[in-house]
Amino acid sequence: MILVIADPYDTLATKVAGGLGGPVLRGSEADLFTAPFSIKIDHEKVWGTLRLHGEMVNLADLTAVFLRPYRTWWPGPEYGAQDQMFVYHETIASWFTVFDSVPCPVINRFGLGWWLQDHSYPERLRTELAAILNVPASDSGPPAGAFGKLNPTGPDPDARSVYLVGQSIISTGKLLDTAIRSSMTAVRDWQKRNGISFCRLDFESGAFPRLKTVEVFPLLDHEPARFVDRIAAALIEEVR
Amino acid sequence: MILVIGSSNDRVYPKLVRRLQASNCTHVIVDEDHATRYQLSRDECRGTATWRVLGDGCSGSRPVGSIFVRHAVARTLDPTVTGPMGELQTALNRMLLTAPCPVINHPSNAFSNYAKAYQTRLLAAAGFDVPKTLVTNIRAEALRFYDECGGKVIFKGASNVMSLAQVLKPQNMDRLNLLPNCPTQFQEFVAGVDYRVHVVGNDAFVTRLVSRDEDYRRAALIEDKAIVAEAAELPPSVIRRCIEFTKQLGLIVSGIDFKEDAQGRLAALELNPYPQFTFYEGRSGQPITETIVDYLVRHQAADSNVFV
Repeated sequence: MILVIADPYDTLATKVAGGLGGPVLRGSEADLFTAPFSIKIDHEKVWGTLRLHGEMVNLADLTAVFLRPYRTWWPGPEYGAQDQMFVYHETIASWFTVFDSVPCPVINRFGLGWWLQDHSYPERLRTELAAILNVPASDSGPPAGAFGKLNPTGPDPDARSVYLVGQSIISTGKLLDTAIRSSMTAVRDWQKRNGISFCRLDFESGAFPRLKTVEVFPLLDHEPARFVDRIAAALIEEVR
Repeated sequence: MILVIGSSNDRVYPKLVRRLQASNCTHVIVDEDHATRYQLSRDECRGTATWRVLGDGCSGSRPVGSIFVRHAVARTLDPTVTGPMGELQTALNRMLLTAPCPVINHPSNAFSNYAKAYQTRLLAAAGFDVPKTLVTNIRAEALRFYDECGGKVIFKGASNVMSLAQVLKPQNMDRLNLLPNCPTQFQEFVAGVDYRVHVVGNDAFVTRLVSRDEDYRRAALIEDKAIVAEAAELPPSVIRRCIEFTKQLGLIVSGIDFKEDAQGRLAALELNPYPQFTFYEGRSGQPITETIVDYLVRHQAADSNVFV
């Protein structure tokens, strides 16, 4: 069973779910965060269950998870403001534990920094990856006054974008592909360490590429359909 | 130069500052409760960032050798307070990410206790004995776990939002009907003596706490009852593991909680990356603040990209 958590209008999720060819259980983040579940930990053994759309799934039976929650879910108005915040954090902490624990591939197995909207999380990823690729990180970084939510982004029109899906490098140019491929062993280690199998790298245009952004939740709305198909195919391959 | 980032409304930060003053250590303070007083600037030269903190005694010119950070917690939802504080903390966290000097503790390494069951797994993987744990929003699962643990179960929050552990008793089983509203963490109840181990670099302080309450913090913080806290010892192998686990998480300081039952079982409950060590040393007399100040002084980096 493959679990897909994504907005119903997420084209990439639809293509991935449709191309997997096996049983897929799909739900939105609101479905997920209100779903009955349990996770039990006995020293290093972990097991649990999840019921989504009436279907009970043993977490051990999941063969892959494709995770694209926008993190817009918030407990309903039946709770007061303080209780909303409490329920929100209890829910996020619980589901983080679930996704961290399942033994199958999870794309992406986001770190707590992402779940907690920590603005230094993408910056840390960018700094690490720039060092691995031996390219400077861009001067700009996130805006100095950045505060609030870390929203998913589409490709930067002023940048050259490269998508990384496992070992697949998907871009329209070749120059950066070569640089990334030559560091692939270290890139794979970085992916495993951070749980990020799928991301978009935005490099500043210019003679010397500088890494501007590492987007771990790439939006593809403005990418050509054939390009999205290539990314979906690589994701399906990675999940299998 | 030591930089202290924190909150003057906190209990730890003022004591640390007093200790620095008493030690004649050169230091500068960023008080996040007055966030609008500060500005951060970032320059970059050949891929290396330089940060300058300006305002309220910070001139952006003196190099920082070590940093103590314990972010302020906004005790209000008022955006005129949370906005500036959040922006300052975001900028400071970016600065800390590239600071080459020791930071007690790096905020980006301090998330693990946000998800307590996740941290239980980390503790187990590090070789600690941990209580059986269940996180669920299903009543039947909680009841099954209760039976499996012989009716000895505590429940508490699954995240690091403040909640106190309580024993699940037959008379409050009705509350399990509320579970679909919010997942809850249930844990095998290890009855016995509480220990807190504070790690500071390669040093550790063991404090034994005696309280009638299953969560001694309730007795001390809420009911204002006296609890006994005294210096104690635990096996060297446990202390070594505490120090190694703290380092493994990328931390310098931690507070690790244990319960020891009558049979000598020592169960690790959680690691706090921002422990309120003044609570313990105020009762036990252990020199934890002094050791932290000493660490900050002795480990100052020669080169810095942070200027205050």
